[in-house]
Amino acid sequence: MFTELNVILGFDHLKPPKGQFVLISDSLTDGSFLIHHFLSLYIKGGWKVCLLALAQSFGHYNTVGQKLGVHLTQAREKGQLRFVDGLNHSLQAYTSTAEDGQDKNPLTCLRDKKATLRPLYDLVKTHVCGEEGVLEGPTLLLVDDLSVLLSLGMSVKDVSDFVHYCRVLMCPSQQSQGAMVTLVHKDADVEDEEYSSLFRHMAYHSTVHLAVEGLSSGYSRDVHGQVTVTFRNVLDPSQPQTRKRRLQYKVEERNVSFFAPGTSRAVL
Amino acid sequence: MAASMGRGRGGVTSFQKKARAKTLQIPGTRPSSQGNQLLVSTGVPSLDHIIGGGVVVGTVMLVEEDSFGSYARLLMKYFMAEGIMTHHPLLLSSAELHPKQLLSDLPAPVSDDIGKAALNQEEVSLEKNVQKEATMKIAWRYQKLRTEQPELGAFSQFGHYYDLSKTMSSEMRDTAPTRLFYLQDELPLEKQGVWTSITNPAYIKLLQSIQDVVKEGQFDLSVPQPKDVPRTVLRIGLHSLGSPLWGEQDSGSSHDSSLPHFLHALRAVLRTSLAACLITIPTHLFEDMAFTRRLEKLCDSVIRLESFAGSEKEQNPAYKDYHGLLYIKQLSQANSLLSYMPDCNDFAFKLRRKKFAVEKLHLPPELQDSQQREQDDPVAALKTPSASCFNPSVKSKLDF
Repeated sequence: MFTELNVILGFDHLKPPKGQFVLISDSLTDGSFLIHHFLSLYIKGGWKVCLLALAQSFGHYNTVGQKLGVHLTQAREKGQLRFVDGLNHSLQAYTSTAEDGQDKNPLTCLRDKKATLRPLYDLVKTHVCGEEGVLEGPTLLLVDDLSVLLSLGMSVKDVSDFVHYCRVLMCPSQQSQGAMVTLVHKDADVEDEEYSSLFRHMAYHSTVHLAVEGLSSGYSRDVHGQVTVTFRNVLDPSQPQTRKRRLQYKVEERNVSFFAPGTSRAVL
Repeated sequence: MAASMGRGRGGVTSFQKKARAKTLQIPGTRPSSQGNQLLVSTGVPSLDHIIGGGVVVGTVMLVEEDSFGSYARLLMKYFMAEGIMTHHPLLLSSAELHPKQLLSDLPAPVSDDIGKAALNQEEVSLEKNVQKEATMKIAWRYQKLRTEQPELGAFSQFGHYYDLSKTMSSEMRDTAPTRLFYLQDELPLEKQGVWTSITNPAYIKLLQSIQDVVKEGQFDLSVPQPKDVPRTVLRIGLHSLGSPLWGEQDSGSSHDSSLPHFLHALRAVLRTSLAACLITIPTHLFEDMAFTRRLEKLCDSVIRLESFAGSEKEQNPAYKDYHGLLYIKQLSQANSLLSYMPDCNDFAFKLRRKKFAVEKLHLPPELQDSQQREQDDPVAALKTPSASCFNPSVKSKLDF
């Protein structure tokens, strides 16, 4: 967890805010460091977290988590962290033949054109909800990353339906118990229609949008990119609709430093 | 308990330095500079250097092929040759050339490499010290510049040097256990068109054989393996994956998702096994840039080769020392927050008679043009003042 980012976002690191739909998008660089930020933030805040990991293995999150001061293996044993191993499910769906055990796999849709992401939603729901089908206490759903589903052949409609269902479950209003964080890729230099339309759907729903971009001037060793934070005001129409803040960042081994554009230590 | 044991050993303190998690000791590997990662060499030490030490075990490295594919094929050969030198088992697949043919043409190692390294180890380190102490007085800004190529024999176990003009002997080649996957043998042509599901059967077959090798060779880390067997790393080379011979259809904007799904599943296999994978894909054959980008996101490290052959850059004097450019698109982030950050992103490669090397791109010194400036021509510089000395029409008082 990066304390500087918490200050910028106005998130209390002891009591992470409820009812947020946080969207992380990255362009020409990698935004996954923010996934680790939110993961450690909410685990430290004592929330129940469901991590839908489509991009990396548990070992990866665990090792990085240790660097940021959270022990994910323990959290998983305690039941605080629920881990959905998307990589493994994808491998199962890829290698298993049509007969054996297809109905159990939440990613059946990768083999079967007619199937949807419904089984995956059901799986997520059993992880985040109690027996009555409602959230018990503050719960976070973290999806890393949604674009993988598109790459694996799902349609934009299926994926945004899935997110819509999850959003209604987790954070229908700003007073609700849950929160949701997702990552999508949207590269500015290539035109990927599916990626950008998914991005637009997500940006519309988000309450906080963190857009990570590579520097327009090219690669730099000392400044890794910039983050534009957009707060979307959905509640109070008298206030301005959006509030923006732009910062540059540098990823270090255990931390990320944020600074105003042009004030990198290497420049000054 | 520990204290009493300590006293038992004759007053030795019971304090023990907390040992760091022991990394696996496997020949031909080394831990990364950030720790907790195991690296294997690509076989080209200068390439290892710029990608942060080598290919991380458990990840996929993608090489986007140059337009004729020759340099990418060379990299694949280096990767395999390095595997043989370090006794790593190999898995090589291809649909174009028979993998046997690829293996029969591996570069030979520089023969006295190993012996020399052991002998010269001390000398080299001594020399290095001397070099370090001698500070630069004139071009002091270059002091911080690291030498791009590590000295010959600096690592006797990691990253060997090869001679491209010779081929590796067949006895040496047979020492490493290899599994070859030739698509036409594994999956007859008439079956390749039969798609029972929405996934390309050729890729499924390939992934199954990878899984078989991982299981049989005990590279799987998710199940406990017998302890007495010495551990090695499996090297997987997939040559020209996604070429039309694999049944990849390029129908304008819509690609089928077989290849991305294959890469995603491959990542799942590799993350839990002791294996490193090098893939070459002819991405220049894909019309859709977005598809290429999706493939890149599903691999861990990505480099792209751009050869000058047949392009107008071949004639460009700025590039006359090189054969092509090398772009680092992304580097592996496995197990860390931050990927390795190279100093710059401008690299070029050249192919000499005996070796392939990657270097920082430098412009050649500008020698021809300097003659055109008058003051640089020593004869002209002498002549003009002497002529103007006796010239009555002197414009300035300073002229004489």
